[in-house]
This record gives sequence, C-alpha cells and structure tokens, in this order.
Amino acid sequence: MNDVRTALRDLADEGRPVDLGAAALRGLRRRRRRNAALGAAAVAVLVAVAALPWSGLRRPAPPPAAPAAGQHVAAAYADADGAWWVLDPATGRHRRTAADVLAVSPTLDRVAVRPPERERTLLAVEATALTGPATVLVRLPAEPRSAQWSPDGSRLVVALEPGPVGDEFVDPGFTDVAVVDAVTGAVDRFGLGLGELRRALRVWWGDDGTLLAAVATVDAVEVPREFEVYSAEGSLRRRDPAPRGQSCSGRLSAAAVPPVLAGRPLACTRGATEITLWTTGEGGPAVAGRLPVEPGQTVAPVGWSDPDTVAVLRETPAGVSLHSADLRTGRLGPAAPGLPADATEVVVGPADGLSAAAADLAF
Amino acid sequence: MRPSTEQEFLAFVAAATPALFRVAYALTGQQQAAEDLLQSALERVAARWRRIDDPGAYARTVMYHEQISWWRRWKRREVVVARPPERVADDPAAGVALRLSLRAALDRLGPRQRAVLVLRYLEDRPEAEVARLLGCSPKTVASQASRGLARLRELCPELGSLEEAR
Repeated sequence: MNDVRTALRDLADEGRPVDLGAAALRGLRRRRRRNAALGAAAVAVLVAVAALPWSGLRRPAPPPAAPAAGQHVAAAYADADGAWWVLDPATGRHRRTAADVLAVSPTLDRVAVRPPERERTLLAVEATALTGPATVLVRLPAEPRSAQWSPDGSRLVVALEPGPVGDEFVDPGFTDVAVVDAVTGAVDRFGLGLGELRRALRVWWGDDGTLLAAVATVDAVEVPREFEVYSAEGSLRRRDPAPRGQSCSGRLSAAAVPPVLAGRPLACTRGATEITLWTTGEGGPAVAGRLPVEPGQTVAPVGWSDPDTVAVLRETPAGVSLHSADLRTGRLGPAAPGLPADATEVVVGPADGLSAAAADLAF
Repeated sequence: MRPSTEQEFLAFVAAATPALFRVAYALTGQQQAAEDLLQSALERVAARWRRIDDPGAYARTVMYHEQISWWRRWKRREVVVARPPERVADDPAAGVALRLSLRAALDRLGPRQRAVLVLRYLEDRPEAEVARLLGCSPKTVASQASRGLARLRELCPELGSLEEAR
C-alpha cells in the first residue's frame, strides 16, 4: 500500500498551492449578484444539496393535450442551493445539471450552459434530454454574462462580462456581445458602440432577427434609458426611448422568449400598487396594460403570450411563482406547476416544444 | 459577508489551502483544474460559513462531489476540452515516468474510486470517515478502495517497483 501512498503524495506535491480566498469571495459575490440581477433572492438560502437525479415532480397521468400556442413553461431553474435543473420536454421532469444554465432553445431541446467553475469562458450547447445530440463546446472571447436564443433556434446572443466583478450588488453592465452559431459553434464578437458613458443591461433577439439591447448610463446603470436595435452583425439601426420610472426588475434577462411582439419590445415600470407594461418603438413608449401589485410583492413580465396576455414572474415572501396575466382584466392566472417556490433563478421558454405528456406544465 | 466574517474565512483559507490543494490536485491531476475545483469548494464554504462546523471537511466533501459530478457530466460523454499539458519540473527520468504513468492510470479510474484512494492513501483517513465524507457506507469504501488499487496496479505496474527502490 505504501507504493500507492507514496505515489499519490508525489503527485500531490506537484501542485502549486494558490491562495484562493479572495477569488472565492469574488466568485460568491458574482453568484449573488447574478441572483439579484435575475430578481431572485439576493442571498442564496442554503439547503442540503439535492442528491436525486430527478426532481420530485411526480405527477399523475397528464392529459393527452398539446400546449396552446403562446403558452410558456419553466424550462430551467436554480434551486435554493444554486443547483440547476433542466426540463426534459418529453417527460416533463426536470433533471439536475452540473452546469449553470444560461438559455434554453425555443423548442426546449437544447440548453446553453456554462460548465461549473472550470472554464469561465466556455459555453456548451447540449441536449435537454440525456439521449439527445452531442455537446457543442464554444470558447468565448470573455466570460458569458447571459445568453438568449434566437427565435429560429439557430444562434445565441451572449452578453460578455466586461471584466472582474467588484462590489456585490453593483452591476457594471456590458459593452460587447458575441453571436454564436448553436450548431457549428462559430463565434462573432462585436461591440455595441456605447462609448464611455453608457452600458448595456440586457440583450435579446427581436422576432425579425435583429438584436435588441436595453441601454443605461453609467451613473444609473440599473435603469434602462433606451432600447437600441442592431442588426445581427452589430450595426445600429434604431434607438428608441425607454419609459421613465422605476424598472420592475432585471428579470427579463431570465426569459428564453424574446419579450418582443410584432417588433415591439416589452418594458415594465413599477408604481406603488401596480406595474405598467409598455411597448417601445419609434413612436416612443406606449402603455400595453397594468397589473396590480401588493405590498411586499414584485411582479415582472417574462414574455408575451398574445397581445392581451403576458407571462409574469411573481415574488412574494412565500416564494416565487410563474403566472399568465390578462392585461384586459389585470388578473393573474394560477401558479404554473414545475417551479419550486424557493427557486433562485428561472429560465422561461415557450411551451411549443412540450410533449403532450408534459403539457400540464404549460401556463 | 461582514468584514470580520470575511477575515475569519480568509484566515481559514490561508491555513487550510496547502492541505486542501493537495487533495484538489490529486483529484484532478492538473494545476488549473485543481485551482478551479478548490475555488468552487471555497465559494460554497464562504456561502455557508456561519452554518458549518468543520469547514475543512465541508470543503473536501464539496470537492469530491463536484469532481464526481463534473466527471459524470463531461468526461463520461467524452467531451474533450483541450488543456495544455502540465509542465513537469526537472526530475530524474524514472520519477517523471512514474508520475506520468500514475496520472494516466488515475485518469482512467472512476471519480469515486479515485476519491476513495485519495482519501484513504493520500489523506490517511479511516474508512468510516471516508464513508461519511462521500455519503456512502464503509463497505462501499472498502470495496471501492480494493477495486481501485487493483485497477491502479494493473494500469501502472511501475508502482510496485517504487517501494522496492525506496
């Protein structure tokens, strides 16, 4: 046995210890900042790591009906411990993944993930089902901050981290994005041309293949001032003013569905008792509807269902939940199944890719 | 974390890093991977600092489970992420050959077997403690250690000559 012991010690001696305390604290802050930016709990509540390969979503036999057009589903979520679970659209069950989920494809068959703490600039596109197609690995020019899948499922737009993260809850915004071919892994990086005084907060695909960025000024980086429309090659096409007021939250970044309907981006401002949903465009912001908010609650849109209905994420002291909201009546539908109340992050996707067996997860 | 708590955490890291890094390196066999694995574990320790009694044991548990999780997710599916080979310091040729052979052999072990060997023979921890850290029974630890040793000797026959030489 001594030979193995000696050999293992010799091997361990090769390593050059590095003091990682400060780096670990920065990493922890980065995680928490992401949670905050996604509108989740600011500090993760720590529970035991789930050890089972499948979540406890054991449901009775589902009705054999396909999801309705425009419905959504909780395509992935991070639990209270920060571990990610991805929905298998065929079975309707979430499975644990070792990586951080950035985006889920419009047909729910693929997921863009960041491998855990190994290669910070690596992005992987893999199947949501274990038997799906092979993984595509992509080396990005910088660490990915967020990603959005194009409506046709062919590309991803990735917001790139500008550099090391500083204070815990200060969001530095970003200036550069990468457009990634989800099949070949080809990467095209470009800057948004924001100069020294402006930073982007979010970037999404429009429904016509353009890119849409929410842009703020560096002195108030949490409030979008403008929505800028770019070609997929990075040329600025249009700059539309954002509605004035307190932003509902940064949760739109959690949506896999571009919050754009018929070319009009969705924005949200918050008042004391209600939130106002806006569409933005060349003519300036226009009110799309209002939803009531009780004290202590936050409600934020995560995608359009149809011109009168939006999907929203609601957070209360009891936890988070997803709902369909009718803009004509201001009423929220029942909480969608499939999302634990203590989830800290969520990626919402269109329910079109759900099998009939999983259709009861749609909302 | 409050500043005072951060100082406590940083003091723990400074004291525990030499031992923890050896474990991380033995588990991964690569400098950068070991740094990433240990940093990831320390982040979890930092997040739970007020809730855990033994941060060193907790960090070890996290490293073993993360390594197993990583291996399952990425290595078993034969996704190869190119990394430059570690530079080997000047060393007698026989020692270098043995280390390379051992590293290759360890890389071919399953992650749980490798973790058991590292805990039992690098850290000299008793079976019961290994079982507690890995979340399995002592019987499983014994069988994994036995199989791991046999496999290691099969893959790295030079191991036997080491003891004779020393």
